[in-house]
Amino acid sequence: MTDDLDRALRATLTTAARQAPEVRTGLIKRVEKARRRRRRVRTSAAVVAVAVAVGGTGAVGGLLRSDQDRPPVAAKAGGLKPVSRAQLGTPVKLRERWPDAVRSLPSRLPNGRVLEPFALLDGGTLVGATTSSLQKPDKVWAYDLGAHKARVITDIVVPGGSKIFASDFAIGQGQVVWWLSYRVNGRDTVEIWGAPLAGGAPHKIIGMRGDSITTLLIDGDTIVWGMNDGIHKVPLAGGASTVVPGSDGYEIVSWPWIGSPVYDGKKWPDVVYRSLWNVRTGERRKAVLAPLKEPWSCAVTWCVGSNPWNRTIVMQRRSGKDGRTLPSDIPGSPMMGVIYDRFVPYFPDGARTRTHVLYDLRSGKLIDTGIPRFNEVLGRGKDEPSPQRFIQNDAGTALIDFSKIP
Amino acid sequence: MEGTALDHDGVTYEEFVTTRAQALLRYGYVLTGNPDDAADLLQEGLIRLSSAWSRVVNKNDPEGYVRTIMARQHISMWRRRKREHLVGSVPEGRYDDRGLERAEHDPRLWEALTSLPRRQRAVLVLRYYEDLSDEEIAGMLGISRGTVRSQAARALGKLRADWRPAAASTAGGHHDR
Repeated sequence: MTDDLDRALRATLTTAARQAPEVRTGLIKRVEKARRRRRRVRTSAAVVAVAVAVGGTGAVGGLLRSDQDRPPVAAKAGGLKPVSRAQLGTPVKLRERWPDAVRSLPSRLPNGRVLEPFALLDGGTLVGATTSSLQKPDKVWAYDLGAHKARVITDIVVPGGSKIFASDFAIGQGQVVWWLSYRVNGRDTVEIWGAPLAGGAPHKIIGMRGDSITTLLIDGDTIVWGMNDGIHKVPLAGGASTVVPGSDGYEIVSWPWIGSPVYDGKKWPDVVYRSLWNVRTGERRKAVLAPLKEPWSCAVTWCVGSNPWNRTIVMQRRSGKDGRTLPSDIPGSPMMGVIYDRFVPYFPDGARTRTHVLYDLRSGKLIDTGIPRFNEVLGRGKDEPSPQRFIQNDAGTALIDFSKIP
Repeated sequence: MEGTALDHDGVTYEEFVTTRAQALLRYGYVLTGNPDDAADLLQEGLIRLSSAWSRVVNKNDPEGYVRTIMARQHISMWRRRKREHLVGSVPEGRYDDRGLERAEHDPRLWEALTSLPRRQRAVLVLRYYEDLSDEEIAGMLGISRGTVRSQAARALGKLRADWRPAAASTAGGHHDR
């Protein structure tokens, strides 16, 4: 009987689905229109709510926000000031103005292999990995750019059952570390490996249950990483790991700052990293932002959001100050977070923008890096305190050093 | 570290909507049981998707995102709004007439589904139309696996009380599938 019912349900639903109405043409336009209308309605409701609150019966305000399915955002945030395209002016050319901040790098080793760099050390040594196939690093290299000579730092071990190949290389204390994951007998394992920068065999530093790490970095003689159950630490020399108490639900934003809530792979919170916690000093900060239908994404100081349907990027300090909106010709403009707690990728010519351009929150100016852009978008770095950002594309490899932009 | 690809497959929001809207509308239709609500649900899903596009496409699963939004929206946040008529009008009883042409389709069962609470119906749709495991359903609806099982059992119990396999010949048709 149940089998009959199962089968009948399957058949009935499948057949009914075929009888769904046809989508009429012009769907996208109608969706956009509906969205605009809804936004207008919400805006006027908010105005009424404010008036009512001033009149002394604040409770009604809550009712007027009925269409919101997000909790109301704290009311202390300042407004958002629109900045016009004209006010942004002509982008400052990074290469001319601050030549030390941008550098073209060889994209291949002297032996012809493509190098994916992750650090440029003082003295002009580029450290990076080569890959044997897509996203599968096989060796870590040190490339002395002055001498035009490269040497292998270490060979990367690829375990059987690999799920995620060596990722998030981090450097510190004369060591390079990375993580990888594999599945054996249905059990996922994450391992952190390391090798001396001077060269030598790779060694496993620690292994644990899990399938991925969000951020991996070296802080002094400690390795720090984030996983879905919180922030972990282990001595660089190896040993037992510890979890930062109370860090469950947090991710590393810009070490030692960690943030919550995070995107859990299912639902975007209203404000990514609304709560910030400096695990070194214990300081905690909360974001107080203007209401926005779309999620905000916060760094330590700044937060960014977007409103694809009125084509604006929205930015505001975590404190609620300096709120502003910028016109953006790219629908669904990137929500990649604030870069180096200061820059937001910007596209003065919409999707046809051919170089990487940044909006500098500090100066309010646009900066044209001059680095050719294909379809990639700069995002927040995984190791945010690091000012180095490598851009690799068909035009070659370039490095931006954000610390060289005053 | 490096630049992140805007979208891995080069799919734009517009392309996604153009190619997937019909399938999503079908899904909305089996979730809600009527064409107007299906259109509303699709609209809601697409509005949310447009806002989230750059993030969602980087996770490579815009379809999963919008289906999740639609299922959750249908259960918990559904409000009757002034309808945006995104779809053509459907003649009354059209599905009944068509359904009779198909031995395996049971209009009475389709009708019986309308008596179920939304969450129960959604669980059945996700299990029997989307072919998701209970675990996947739990993740999608943000409820526990136990709740998925109990909701499904309750829904099936209710349907079973009202529904009997049609005539023997039709039942035989079921077994052939």
